[in-house]
Amino acid sequence: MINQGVNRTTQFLAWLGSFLLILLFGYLSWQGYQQTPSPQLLLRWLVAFLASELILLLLVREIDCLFQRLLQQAQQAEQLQQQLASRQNNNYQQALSTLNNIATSFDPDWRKQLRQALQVAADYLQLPIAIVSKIEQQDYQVLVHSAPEGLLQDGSHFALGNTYCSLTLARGTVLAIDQMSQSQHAQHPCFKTFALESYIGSAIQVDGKPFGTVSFSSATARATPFSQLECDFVSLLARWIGSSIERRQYLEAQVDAAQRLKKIASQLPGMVFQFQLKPDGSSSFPYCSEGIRDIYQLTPEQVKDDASAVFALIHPDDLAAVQDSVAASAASLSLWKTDYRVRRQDGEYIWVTGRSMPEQQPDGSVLWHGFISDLTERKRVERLKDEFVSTVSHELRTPLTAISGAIGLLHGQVFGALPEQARQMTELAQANVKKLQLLINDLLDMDKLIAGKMQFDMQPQPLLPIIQAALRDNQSYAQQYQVSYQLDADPTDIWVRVDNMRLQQVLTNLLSNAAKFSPPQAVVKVVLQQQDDTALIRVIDSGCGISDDFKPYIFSKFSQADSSDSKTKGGTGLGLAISQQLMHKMQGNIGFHSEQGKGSEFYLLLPVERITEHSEEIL
Amino acid sequence: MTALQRIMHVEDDPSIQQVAKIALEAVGGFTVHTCSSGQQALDDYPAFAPQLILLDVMMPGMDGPTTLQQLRQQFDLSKVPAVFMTAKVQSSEVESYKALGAADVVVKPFDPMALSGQIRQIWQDFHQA
Repeated sequence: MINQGVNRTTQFLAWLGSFLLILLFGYLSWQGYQQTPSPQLLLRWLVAFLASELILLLLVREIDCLFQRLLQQAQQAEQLQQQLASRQNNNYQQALSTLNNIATSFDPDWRKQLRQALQVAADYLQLPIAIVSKIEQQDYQVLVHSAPEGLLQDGSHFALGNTYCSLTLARGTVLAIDQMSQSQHAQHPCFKTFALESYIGSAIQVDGKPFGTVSFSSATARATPFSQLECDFVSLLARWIGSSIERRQYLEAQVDAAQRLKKIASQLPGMVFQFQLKPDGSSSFPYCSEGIRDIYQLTPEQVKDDASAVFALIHPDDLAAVQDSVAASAASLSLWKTDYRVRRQDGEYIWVTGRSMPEQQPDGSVLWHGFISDLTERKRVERLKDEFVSTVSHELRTPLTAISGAIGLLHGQVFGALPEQARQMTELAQANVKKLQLLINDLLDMDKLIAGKMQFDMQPQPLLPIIQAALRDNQSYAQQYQVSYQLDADPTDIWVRVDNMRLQQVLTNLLSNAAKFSPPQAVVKVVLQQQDDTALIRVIDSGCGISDDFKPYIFSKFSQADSSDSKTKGGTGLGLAISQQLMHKMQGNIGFHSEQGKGSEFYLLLPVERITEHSEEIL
Repeated sequence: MTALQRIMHVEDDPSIQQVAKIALEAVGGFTVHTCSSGQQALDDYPAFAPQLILLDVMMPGMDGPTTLQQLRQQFDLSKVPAVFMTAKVQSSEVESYKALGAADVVVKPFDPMALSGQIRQIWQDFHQA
């Protein structure tokens, strides 16, 4: 287009010039002819015109040529620029695709993955030596590298000061040097040692803290200086390496935690588990330790998606209780704790105990984390212990009967009067034999209660006479401690359904405790009240009270508040445990309030029997 | 009612045998014949001809109730009350022993000074009944 325009313009100039020359020379020759009319003159003007025309045409052609040349040059320049731009574009694309390749590559071996990344990046940058380093203090460790064979080894250490990376770290941003020998760092020990002419590197941050560097270098200087694109490339690569190390460390920590859990769980004498109950009622064990083999003889995989195999092994008599306890735990999100039996492949049952804590999940399911262990051995030991206590108590009774009898005869002076000191001794022996008898009786009572062998003669009867009888029986005991009882009954005609002897046993226990722990001259108040359908018997003392530490154990077997002391108060530590069992067996309850230093109140609760039901018996 | 004199005590433990013998002889003035087993009681019964039998309930081999049953089968015990000796018992258990033919039950461990009185009381109750 421009070419044609120039052509047309020069043609126009040529015509216009020719026309003007004709006019000019025509005019000049006409004027000259008028002054001296001679054909020779005309011929001369004609020659001049032709010469001028020739010059004009030559000039116009020259201008045309000049224009053409200029145009060509301009076009060439433009093409060059386009080529340059497209090359740069290619570079960008190559850099991006290289980074993309690096970022999307995955290898379970993180070293291999990093090495591949370094190779790809080294190719792109055309620098053969690529290193990811880990820097601690002044130690530079080659974590992963990519370099011509034999040059470097992963895991080698260098002094940080002998590497260019010391400069990179100090700089904080990307450091790029095209020709080291010409740079300000020509005196750097690294150049002296390794003679690396070109270098580009960037610091790596892991978890926001300096970790090391990624660097590329070559023994030859760069033909062209490092571009901004290449600097950005290295900077991005460093960030990618940093985040992939972070991810790797996180994954490793997770794998580590999983393995740790597995190792620990494998050593536990039971199974640890996650149990999930979905809103549709289905259940599963998302996690279960290998210990499930010991408890249910199943594998974790068998119950991963469906827990029904586990429920199928629970003893039919226990299944409903287990299911109810799971439902109750899910409803109240409270601790699940149950003992039950599990069928083994040989048809035998083992006792297991489970406990786990539920958590509500966003999807509406409930997830428990817990533990189940084999209780069979403990149950066996408990039974052995009970049998042992039972046997020992029974076996002790016979010699004790003999001892008690023999001392009784001595003390009764059947063989003649004893000297005073001997009499004191027999009295002491007799008192201790009595204590031993009480202990054995308590042990045997407990034994019977545990075995469920204690018989109760439950009869509807008025409550007050039982209390009065108990007070009468304990009067002399209380006098030893100079303590008296005071009864306050209102109303007086409450009926209950109890075993008279057993209730007296409980009352005796409370009354003797109250007397034992009261100061001299104190009065122990015994109050009988009715609250709605419940009879309430309160035994209130003004003794030393019960410490907060001891309160949780007050109804435990063999518990005595002064177990570490010299046990000045005596007793077996079984009384309250037996009393609680007895009250439970009689559909009643026992409880207490106490404040240390001020005294204690023990109370018994019993359901009231309606008098009308027994009016006939009264009559 | 004749006075109680001869008591046969059936008890396997030698120590208790001795204590009971002294308690009944020295304190109560009775004559006591001690048998160490139910079988010995069966063997010695005719020769000693006791007026009252004191039987330990728990004995190896033949226990108290079985011994009593055998004695009843072999001899006429209508005039001879049998008294069981056993550990702390409940009232319902006393009834069951009485149903087995015992006149009463003495609780172990017994008070040696009170035992004779207890036995004498049982003897009286038996004859008044």
